[in-house]
Amino acid sequence: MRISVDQTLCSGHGRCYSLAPEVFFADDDGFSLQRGEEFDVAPANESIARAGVLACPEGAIKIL
Amino acid sequence: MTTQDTDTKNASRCPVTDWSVEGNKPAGEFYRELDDLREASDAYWNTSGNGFWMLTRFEDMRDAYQNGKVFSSESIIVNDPNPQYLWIPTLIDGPDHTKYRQILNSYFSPAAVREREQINRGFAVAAIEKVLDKGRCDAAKEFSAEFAVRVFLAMTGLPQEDMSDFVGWVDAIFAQMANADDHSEQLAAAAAIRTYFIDMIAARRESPRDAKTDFVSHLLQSSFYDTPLTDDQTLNILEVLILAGLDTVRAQLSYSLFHFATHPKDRQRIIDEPDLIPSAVEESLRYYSIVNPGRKLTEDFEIAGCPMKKGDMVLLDLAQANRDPRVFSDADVFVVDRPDNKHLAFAAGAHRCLGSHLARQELAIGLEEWHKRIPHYVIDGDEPVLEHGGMRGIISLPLRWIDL
Repeated sequence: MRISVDQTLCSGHGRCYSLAPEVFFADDDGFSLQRGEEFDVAPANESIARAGVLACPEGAIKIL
Repeated sequence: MTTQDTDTKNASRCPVTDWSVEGNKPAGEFYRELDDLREASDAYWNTSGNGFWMLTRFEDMRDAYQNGKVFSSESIIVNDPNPQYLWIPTLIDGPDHTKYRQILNSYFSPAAVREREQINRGFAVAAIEKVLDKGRCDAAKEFSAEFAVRVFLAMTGLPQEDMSDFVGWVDAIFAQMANADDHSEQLAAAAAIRTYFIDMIAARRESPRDAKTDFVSHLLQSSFYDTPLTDDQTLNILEVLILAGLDTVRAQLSYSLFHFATHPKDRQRIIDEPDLIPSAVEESLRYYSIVNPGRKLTEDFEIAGCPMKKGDMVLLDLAQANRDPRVFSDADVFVVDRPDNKHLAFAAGAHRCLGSHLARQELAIGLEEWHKRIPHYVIDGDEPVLEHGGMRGIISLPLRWIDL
């Protein structure tokens, strides 16, 4: 699974890293450390990754 | 509101309503009314107050919040389109807004909030233990308000003794916020808060405290771009944090307890599985969304068939987005362990609530510590629990846990 986090749409709600800390990470201000990036998710983490994607109120996270 | 104005708005396909944001109603009533409005139309021209548009569905509302260029935060109260106050950073847009937020982030980041967990938990426990033996209390006042205000005072380095003053001022401001005609008490309370902070700023300028732990000192040692924050900017920041941090948590925690008092199955769920409390907090935020900001159009813009004009106000009531069945299955059901709960209780876009991490912590702590000590309780007495409009909240929440 490949995921992207939109640079501009992320506004630091923190749902992704709260629900799926194995996959998503926060910067010091609580925004996505991975915003503006694409990254791969290990198969074992695909389920919680999906939970993180679907929890973003901004729709900033996409499964590519 | 002239007939001509109404006719102009009416010329669009946008339905007209006179539904008022104000009033005191049985708890839950505003939510039902907002649900009905949403299902009947995705947009309205509302003739109440000063007149404003309404967008009622999740997608349009999220788009509006994300489009800060058109939907500006120059005013966020539909019945107060030209505010005489400048809340920083709330009423600022663009790069300046981002700069101000950067000054505040160190106190409101997830890490900063985590560091305060022990202290905050202590305030919740103290508030509960004060009422425990009475067997009954007004939880809106004696628990929710008590807890939220003490957390706020501790976090901003303000004296705990000033608690009742703050509660009074915040009450006065919110009571009149929805009132289109009279803002006199609101302005008086804002003036009292301003005086208080002018004195506090002078005191901290004279004897600065550690910027890492004293919020006012932190502000006085911060810069906006390359210029140190002025007293005025500092005052404006403190003013909005008072308003944003006190009544919100009080209201949300009160709605949560109201829900669990009146829904024993849901309450039993979180008693049996306290690990579900964070999820229950999210569902409370979704189901009982209290905040209903407006935005002001910076240019003519058409959305949902409404020809909004530059200078118009539009109400973006978060409860309508959060209970939208197009986005949430069983939207009108409180589901304790709801997955995919991407609610907009903290709005969206650049103005996403700065205090969201703190609010979530407070709500979880509040529910955890309450239910550890008072797992079973009912609404006390026969009077219906009432909610107020404007930014919504429970007016009084009498709970009883003796003689069940």
